[in-house]
Amino acid sequence: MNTIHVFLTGITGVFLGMAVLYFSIKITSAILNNFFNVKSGK
Amino acid sequence: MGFLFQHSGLFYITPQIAVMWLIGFVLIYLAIAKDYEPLLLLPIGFGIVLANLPLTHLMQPDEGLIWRFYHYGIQWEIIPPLIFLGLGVLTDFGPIIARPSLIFLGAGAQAGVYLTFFAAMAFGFNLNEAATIGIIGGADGPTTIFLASALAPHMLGACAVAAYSYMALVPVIQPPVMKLLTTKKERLIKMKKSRKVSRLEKLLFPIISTVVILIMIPEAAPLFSMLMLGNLFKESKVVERLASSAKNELMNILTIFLGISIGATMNAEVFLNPKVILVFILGLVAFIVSTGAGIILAKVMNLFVKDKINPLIGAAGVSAVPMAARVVHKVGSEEDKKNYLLMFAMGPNVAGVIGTVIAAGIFLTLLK
Repeated sequence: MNTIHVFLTGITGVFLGMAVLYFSIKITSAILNNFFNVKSGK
Repeated sequence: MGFLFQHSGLFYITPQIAVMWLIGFVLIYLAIAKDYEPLLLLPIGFGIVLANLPLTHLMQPDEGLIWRFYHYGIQWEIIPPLIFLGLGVLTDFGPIIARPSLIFLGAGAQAGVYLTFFAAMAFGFNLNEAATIGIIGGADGPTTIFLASALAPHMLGACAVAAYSYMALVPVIQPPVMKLLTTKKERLIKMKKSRKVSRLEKLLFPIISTVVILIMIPEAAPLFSMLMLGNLFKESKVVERLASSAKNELMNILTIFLGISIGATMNAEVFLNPKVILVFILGLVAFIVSTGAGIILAKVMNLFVKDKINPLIGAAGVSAVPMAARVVHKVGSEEDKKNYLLMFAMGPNVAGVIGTVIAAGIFLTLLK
């Protein structure tokens, strides 16, 4: 395990984790709005 | 009488011990007189004094009272996750559900963690120590303690005090960085009002995010799962008693044990070491870089989004909830009193908590 590896894996992993969270929220909202008729704010 | 005198701690007081008392007294003073993170700095300061009283054996392994708090609370990794349970109850994830793109500002602010990790390596720290120093940039006390206890227990005291000190100094450290990296025009940007978030979305968020994040980064489980469980307590509205206990009594009790245990790890032999000064300097650098990285990422995002983001809110990507968001609002309102940035800044602020936990989880995955 070297410094560059930890650095690159770490920074990529954080952005990847946040991207997964971003798409989870987007997909959940879309499913709720389109399939279950749960509109935002209701 | 002579026997008692000979067996007192009086003959064991050294200049190093006196210096540690002074450090303890300074922290107690800052907590009481200046109101700097008093809930933590007061017990930490007192813990330092206690740990440096000769012959008390309070930190004697298997014997000492405070050693037991430290061993079962911190070394067993119990207290930081339980504090996250309370934090989960206190956190509203609505702002990032309403505007998910703000999540990336919480990720951007973690740049300071990794750049400081790099710098710490250059200063001769090993991988585990460098990771522990870097995480100070996330400005999250429990995460810093959790990571330090797992990777570099000998640096726990210094890193925890650095993290909480800088969190207390957010209103001093962040505004100059924010003003340096933004123009007046950028600070005046008014953001479009966020949409309302349904109760069902708020209910699903802790469940879905726990599953997806912990499948990706299982090492983040102790902190992340407790954070989201606490949030589920809050959003479900059916366990008011549990939510109330988690954010009040439980958190208060844990804070007492946490503070005194951390303080007691700081004995003269461990703490009075030139490397500790470097920890404080690098921790400050981490904090400043994290603040700057969040702002710069917000400016970059503005190149691609239709609804412009006020780049000041990027500074709230460091955790320090809700202090960092309040500071963003204050700096923004200095330019335009009608520009209410607080709710927008809460998005990156809570995303920063998640980002720091993920960063810690990745360090643990790679280095534990």
